Amino acid sequence: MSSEPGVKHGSSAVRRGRFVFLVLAVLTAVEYLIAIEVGPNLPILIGIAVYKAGLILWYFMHVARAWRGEEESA
Amino acid sequence: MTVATTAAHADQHATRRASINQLGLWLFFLSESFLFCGLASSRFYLAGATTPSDVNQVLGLAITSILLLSSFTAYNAEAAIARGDRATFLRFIRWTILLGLVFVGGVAIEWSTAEFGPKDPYGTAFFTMTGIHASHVISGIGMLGLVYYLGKRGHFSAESHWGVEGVIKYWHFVDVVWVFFYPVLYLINWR
Repeated sequence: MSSEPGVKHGSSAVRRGRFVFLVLAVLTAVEYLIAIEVGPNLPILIGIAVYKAGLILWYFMHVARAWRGEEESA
Repeated sequence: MTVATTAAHADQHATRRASINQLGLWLFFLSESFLFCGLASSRFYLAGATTPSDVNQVLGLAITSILLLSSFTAYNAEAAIARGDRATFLRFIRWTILLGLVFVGGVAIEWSTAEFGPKDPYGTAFFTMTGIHASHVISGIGMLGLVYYLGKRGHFSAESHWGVEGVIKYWHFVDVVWVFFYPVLYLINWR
C-alpha cells in the first residue's frame, strides 16, 4: 500500500510534519496560557482543540484520501 | 485468460482491498469516537463545566506534549518506510514506543498523586476518561511493538506498508482523542 504523494517525497514530508508539529506545540502552549490567564474559556479551548484535531487528521492521518482509490493516491 | 488479464485483475483486487482497508479503519475510528464523545459529555454531566484547582497542570501539560511529540515521531516513521528507509523507520518506531510508555507512566503518576478521589464527581470522570484513553495507548504500544518486530524481520517496504500505516493512523487517532480530553479534563474554567 503506497502513501500519498507528500509522504513519498521524503524531505518535503518531513518538513511538513515538523511544521505541523510546531503549530500543534504552539497551540498547546496557548491553551495552557488561556487556562491560566482567561476566566470563562470553554468556547475558545474547544475551538483550538477542533483546529488541532483537524491538523492531525489532515496532515498526519491523511483523511483526504480515506475514501479515494489507490490509483488516485499513488 | 491471458497473463496480462490476470495481472490486471490482481491489480484491481489489490486496489479494492486497499480501499476496503482504509474504509474499515475509518469506520472503526468513527465508532470509537462515539465512545469518547460519550465520556467527554459525561464529564460535564457529572462535574459541570469547571475544573478543580488541585488538578496537576504541569503534569497535564507534560504528558500532552509527550503524546504530541509521539505523533510526530510516528509520522516520521511512516514517511521513512514510504521512502524505503528501514533504519529511520525502526528508529522512529522505537521513539514512538518510548514516548508512549512515558505518557502511560505520567498517567500512572497522575493517578497515584491526584488529590481528588474516584468517588468525587470530577474524579469519576477523570479516572474513567484517562483510564480508557490510557488503555488505548497501551494497545497502541503493543501494536507498534508488533510493527517494530515485523519491520526488523524485513516486513514492509516502500510499496507495501499498510500494516505500518494502519497502526500509525491508530496512534494519531489516540492523540486526537487526547487533544480533546486535555482541555476537557485539565483546562476548562480552571479555578
